[in-house]
Amino acid sequence: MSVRKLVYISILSALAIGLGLLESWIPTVIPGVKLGLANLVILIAMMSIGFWGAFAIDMAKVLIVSLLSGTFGQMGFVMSLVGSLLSFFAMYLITRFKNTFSPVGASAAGGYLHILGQMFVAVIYLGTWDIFYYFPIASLLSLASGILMGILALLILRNGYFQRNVQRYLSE
Amino acid sequence: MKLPKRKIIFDAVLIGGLVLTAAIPPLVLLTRKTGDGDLYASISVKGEEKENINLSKENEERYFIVEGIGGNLTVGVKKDGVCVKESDCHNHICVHQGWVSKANRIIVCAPLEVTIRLYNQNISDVEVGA
Repeated sequence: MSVRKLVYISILSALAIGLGLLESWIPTVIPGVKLGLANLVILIAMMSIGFWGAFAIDMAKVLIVSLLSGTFGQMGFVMSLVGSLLSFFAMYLITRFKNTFSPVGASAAGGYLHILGQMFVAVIYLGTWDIFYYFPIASLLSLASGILMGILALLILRNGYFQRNVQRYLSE
Repeated sequence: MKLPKRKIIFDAVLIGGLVLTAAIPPLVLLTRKTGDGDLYASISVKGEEKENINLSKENEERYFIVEGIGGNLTVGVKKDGVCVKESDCHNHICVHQGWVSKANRIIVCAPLEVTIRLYNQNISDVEVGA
């Protein structure tokens, strides 16, 4: 891995961690439902440097945000980890179909899978499926935030200008 | 930037499909039988039942402490319902839920890993404990 790629991954990781921490301080209406600002960084990373770079940023965000917010090893951390993994793979799968779906669809699916993963972890921890009563409102809020982040990603990635600049920086 | 029509259509189909599937889990849960026996409140911490209260025998409203994971809740019970009056959790979603009085309804305090489930006695343990 080149030094420039490492620097780029580090900058995006710092951005994702900062946004993740910022979000952890904002009170939520439903547990686990957040705006997903860090997800925007992951989506941009995925579309500019590919799978492994984006995956490293995603995992760094989950681990470091949980360590800094004091939830490491607790139920909240496991929910975040499983949700992030499911969301990541859903977004990656959808971004593979570049000619079919836009970043809005990828981001919306990522938000939905994120909350679905969190719900399954909550079922295991709390020992009841009843947590799924929250699923419609939680998933609709997640879809809405996913769509919003997708639109932001679309604006940043429009015309391929951002990706071209990243590629130019990495190849210099 | 203008998105191609094809992408807009496929995005809309994907998001529409996800919205439709969001309604499935609660619909499945709501089809469970409620029965017509005494109303019970089962209070669990991390999936383990700590209290099982027959609400039909609660003639007066009373409050007690439940120890969750990393904090306590003040739970209120009365003849026809249960609520969380106070909680050490940060978001207080459980508190805002207020009194819950129908069978198969729950109050969840995810940060403290506490669930309070209402059920009717004459439903078998297998169905209730699902």
